[in-house]
Amino acid sequence: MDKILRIDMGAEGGPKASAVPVGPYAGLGGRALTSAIISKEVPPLCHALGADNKLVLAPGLLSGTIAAVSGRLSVGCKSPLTGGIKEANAGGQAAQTLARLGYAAIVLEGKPKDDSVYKVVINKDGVTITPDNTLKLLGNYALIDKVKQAYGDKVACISIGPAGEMKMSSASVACTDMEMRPTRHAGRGGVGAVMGAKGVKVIILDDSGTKMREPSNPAAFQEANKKWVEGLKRHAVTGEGLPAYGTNVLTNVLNEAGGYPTRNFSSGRFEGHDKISGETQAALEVKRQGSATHGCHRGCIIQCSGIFNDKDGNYLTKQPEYETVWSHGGNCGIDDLDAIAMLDRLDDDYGVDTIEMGATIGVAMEAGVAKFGDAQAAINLVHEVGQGTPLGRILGNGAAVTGKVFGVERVPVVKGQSMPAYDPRAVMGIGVTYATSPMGADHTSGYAVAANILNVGGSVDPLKPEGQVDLSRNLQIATAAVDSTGMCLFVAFAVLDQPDTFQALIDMINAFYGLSLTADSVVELGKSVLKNERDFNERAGFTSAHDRLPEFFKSETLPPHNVTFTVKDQDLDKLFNW
Amino acid sequence: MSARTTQTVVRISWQGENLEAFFPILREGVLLTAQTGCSIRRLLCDQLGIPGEYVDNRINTIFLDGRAVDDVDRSMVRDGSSLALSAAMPGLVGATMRKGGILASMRDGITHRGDNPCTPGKQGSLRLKLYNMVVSELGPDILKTGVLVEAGRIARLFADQTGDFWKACGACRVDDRQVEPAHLSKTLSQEGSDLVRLVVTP
Repeated sequence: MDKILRIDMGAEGGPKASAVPVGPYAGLGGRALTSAIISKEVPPLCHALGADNKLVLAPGLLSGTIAAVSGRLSVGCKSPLTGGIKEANAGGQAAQTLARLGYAAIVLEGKPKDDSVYKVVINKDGVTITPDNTLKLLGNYALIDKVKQAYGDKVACISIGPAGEMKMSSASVACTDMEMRPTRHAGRGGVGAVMGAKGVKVIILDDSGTKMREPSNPAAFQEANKKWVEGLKRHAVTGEGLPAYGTNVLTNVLNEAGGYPTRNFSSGRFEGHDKISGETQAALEVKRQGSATHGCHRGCIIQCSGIFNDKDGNYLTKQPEYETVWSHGGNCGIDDLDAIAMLDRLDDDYGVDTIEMGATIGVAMEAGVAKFGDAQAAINLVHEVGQGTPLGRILGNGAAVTGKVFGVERVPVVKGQSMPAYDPRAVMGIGVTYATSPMGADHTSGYAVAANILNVGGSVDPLKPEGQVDLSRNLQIATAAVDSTGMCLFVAFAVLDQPDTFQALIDMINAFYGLSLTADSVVELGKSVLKNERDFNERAGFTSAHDRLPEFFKSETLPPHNVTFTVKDQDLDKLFNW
Repeated sequence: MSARTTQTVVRISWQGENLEAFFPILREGVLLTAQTGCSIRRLLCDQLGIPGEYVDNRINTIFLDGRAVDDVDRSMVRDGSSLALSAAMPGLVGATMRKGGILASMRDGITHRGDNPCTPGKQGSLRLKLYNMVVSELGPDILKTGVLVEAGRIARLFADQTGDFWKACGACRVDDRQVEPAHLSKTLSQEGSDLVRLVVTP
């Protein structure tokens, strides 16, 4: 991973690729790399769909190695949804394959001079970029079937669906999984629209003839990885809970807490919660000969995913995650797992972010476009998006646009991006992260990584709202660091509780690169990522006024606890003081 | 429960591989008669016979009346309480819900603050909900001891079942009368009770 593949889609004579040394970006991976490139090379005031924006696809520092759970791909750009910097990431096979091909990143630059869609093929011998208009407006599933016919089922793909081609702000970038299905999406912030603006429909990664990346100190690396695997397997969440039920195990618990946003954030509890819970979902998957325990990429030992078959036992989609089940389920008043799975399949096929789409439908339902609880109407609305009808174009551009068009006041977004499945009135700490993250409302921006181990940001007073600002800061720093390793963020649970597992992660990086990082170095890495991102947003015109939750979270009480969001604005503004 | 509440006792001798079919009612919540006015720990350990180590190390997430509990010794169970038990949860918010966790302040607004001691030893009823790993691990013993469930919910549970469920039902008794499994729903409907005391024995 000592080179960056730059593809100028607007070059004279057609798109041109050149592999260049990583240069000033050496030592960075994943989110650290995408945000460094965007922050340094993209004019913050450029149009997100214009030639000056760049789309950066970067595996993590440990992707392509034998390190367990190291297969996340970071996708960065200026976001068409938020107008700020964006990093979205996904599992699947792409990160491991790209890393083994030796690339620290692919950077898509410029803009094609015609409206052709392009296919990029990368293998050990080089890169070919060819227009292929037979791929135009294909859904991700049909697209990948076509790739499979031409290139076999051992390649990995990074692609967009029709929503990306139509440059919708909710468009995702899809990565294929172990079965070569386009089920793993870098969903947030409209990264797929930027890929669409570059005219790239699919990137095909063929790593045949390449080897696993070699560590600087193989013995130390293997030993650290052994401890890493043991730590992940030992922990109750990564070793038991996630493999058994997936992330949707949270539905019943969040509902019990009264923090499960229901019917467009009008209540904290959904009466149909158990019908769509992880426990029910897992039992249904097993009953239909699917699977409740499945990895999204080779080398994953957490196995939080699954296979969801339809009533006839045929594959429909991967196991929908908690956020997806929530967004299309409780948030829309829908308690039918089959309908939710169909919505997940359609989202993946058309290539849209499941959180943004579900939140948008919730806003549309509040506006009376459809009734809460009407699953068929929700399915029809997603088809409108995929087909690019006038209504679909509105919905495909997210909850904020939809709320404006239909005159809805209760629109759960920050910086234009929809909130995920946790109501910030019940869990105020996550509200702080929603408000202040450079990414917009994002549940993965401040993850549960070892605030106690890293001890960053000073002491925390747990009984004061401002203490939540300190915690959120610590978590955002630590998350930025983990996102840079290529590790799945779910490792956070084991790292949070088991200092030896956190140390094993650092040891792996050190053994691979011949470094001597400490926990402090990890904190500094996380801080530098956040600083880059914050700096970009400031230059793009963001101020503290953008670090706020929508007004209704302060004025509308959330049943059943009847709580509001009470963290003061001046406390939110302290988050980036370090 | 009012004095006029009527109950029917249903005993099922279960011959299936596991008791998963009954878990939805445990997740939605069942009524337990217990000595209230005690701490959560006393209820779980002394009355339900759950080992203290399991309470401390496995039941990582607890809600009392919908509020996240940090201290099982300070939060008191009262007549009419609702108690939900879960293993450790994934995700940032899952971690914030953990009892006594470092991130507990993030859900400060919905934290159960603990109580002053209330009248101990008073017989009362509470609603118990078991989720995820906890329902798999504690569910069988709880079902064996017996739980009270609203009759309408039991009727819905039976209505949702297919042939495999009925094949796994061995001997069934309704108020000490032998009943064919296939006739359970009809018999319960004829009884017309408000509550069903369900006892399932593997």
